[in-house]
Amino acid sequence: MVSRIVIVGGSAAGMGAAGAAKGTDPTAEVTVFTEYEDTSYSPCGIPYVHGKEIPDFERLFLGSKQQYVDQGIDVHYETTVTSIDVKARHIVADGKQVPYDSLVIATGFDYADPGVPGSDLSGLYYVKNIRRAMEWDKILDTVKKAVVIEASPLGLEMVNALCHRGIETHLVDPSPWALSVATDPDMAKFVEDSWVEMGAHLHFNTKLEAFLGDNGGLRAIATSDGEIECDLAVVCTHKVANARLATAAGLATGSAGGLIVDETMLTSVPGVWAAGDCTEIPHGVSKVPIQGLTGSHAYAQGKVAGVNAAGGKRTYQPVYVPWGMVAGKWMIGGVSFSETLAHALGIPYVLGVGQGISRARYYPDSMPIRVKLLGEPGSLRLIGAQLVGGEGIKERADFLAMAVRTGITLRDLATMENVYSPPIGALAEPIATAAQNALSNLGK
Amino acid sequence: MGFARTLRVVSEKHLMVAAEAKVARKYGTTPPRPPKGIDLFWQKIYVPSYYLLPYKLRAKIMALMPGSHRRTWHTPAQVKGPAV
Repeated sequence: MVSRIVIVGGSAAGMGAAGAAKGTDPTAEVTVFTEYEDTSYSPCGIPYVHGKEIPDFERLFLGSKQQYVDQGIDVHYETTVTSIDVKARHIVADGKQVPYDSLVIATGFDYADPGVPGSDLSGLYYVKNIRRAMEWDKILDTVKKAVVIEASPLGLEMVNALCHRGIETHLVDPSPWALSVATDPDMAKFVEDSWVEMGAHLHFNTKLEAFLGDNGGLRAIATSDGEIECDLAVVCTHKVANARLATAAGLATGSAGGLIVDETMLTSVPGVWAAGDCTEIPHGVSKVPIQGLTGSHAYAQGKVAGVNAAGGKRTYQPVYVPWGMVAGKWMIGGVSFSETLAHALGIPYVLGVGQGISRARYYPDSMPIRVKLLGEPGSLRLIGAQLVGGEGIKERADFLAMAVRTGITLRDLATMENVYSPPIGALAEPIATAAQNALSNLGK
Repeated sequence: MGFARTLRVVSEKHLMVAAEAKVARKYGTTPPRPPKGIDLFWQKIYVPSYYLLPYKLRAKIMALMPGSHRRTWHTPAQVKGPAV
């Protein structure tokens, strides 16, 4: 009998699930419902089109609609799923019941509501959908002054994009430094200083109080430090799980607000899997469940869910969260914990900081790299890291995530081997330097 | 929002503010704004009480909250011994 696999949501997790399900069981009927006009594009690239680093939005599309038809994946665009009945095993989309044998929920995220008056004014931009982004990109040509609400990962990217665009850019955040959930102030300072060089105005420790408008259009924001005039507000609040449909159907959510899943991405209801930003996944070190990871996490989770929904067997794992981005004139990144987050959780650590360079000193375009490592006291297992530099951050963050995952210690890192080739690596690896400094601080 | 979610959201906010203050002091950077109103309770009573609890007890309380961490999550076994 042909298996009917229905997927709600057409972003990274949903399409990852669709492809994996079809690959696992080519005879299965795989149907995807998305409320949007498109699937299979990279929303993460949108800020870089706005900033003119990527010349057009077309490049963000990863595949054509015809490719899914050819693969036998039935995608229903601009179709809203209004309810799920897990007992009867059907969803309702556009008023019609669609039965399923296996269901994958990949409904993604919403931006946290700023919770202030004026949120219905025009001139507020939530970066998510590529068609809306195309419209907003034309509007950006007319914008003189913009406010970025919150220094989240998207906020960092949009500050860069708007500055590149020549728009007077104001960043407003209630925290004392940029991306304070993941960075420490000594590392964030490099980015903040370069933003100021780029012409951005930074308003930290500043709370948004209202969007102010005339005739329905935004003219300014009100903050704890006064009004800031603007033509546009890019709302970059943190992501919250879009799990309304699932919770209405009786699926359980956890303390992080995401759908509860196990390592196979199975939810609290048999026959229903979930993947991506609508779920919560345990952190590998603290075991605390977290929500709102990256597109690569969502895609990988989608593939696991899709394989299992199609009768295969694959597992996901707790996450250690390597992250990285371009912010200001720097690349910044990290893994697992910053000092600030470790303090918040009350997790003790030992610390080592190392400064190095990305290529041989004498080679053109060699850039500084600063590495901060956090280790567990006693065992010296790596538990977190922060990085900021001109290049080479992503590779190091990926490596250090695996180091945390596999229990590598500061001693291991202090004696690591490293590639030395003048165009691509320096004699001394800053990760090793940071680890050696940690041991030296401990008198070891 | 359920109790566990509400507690987590409020705890996270105030624990982060306290941590930001501590790390800002360490690095000589601008700390968070001083708490006002109800935030005074969270910063002056809740946060210090939280840190008075032993880490193992805090971890146990966090483990008891509803969440994905309470479902099955295997850690892949590390293979020992030489590869060849």
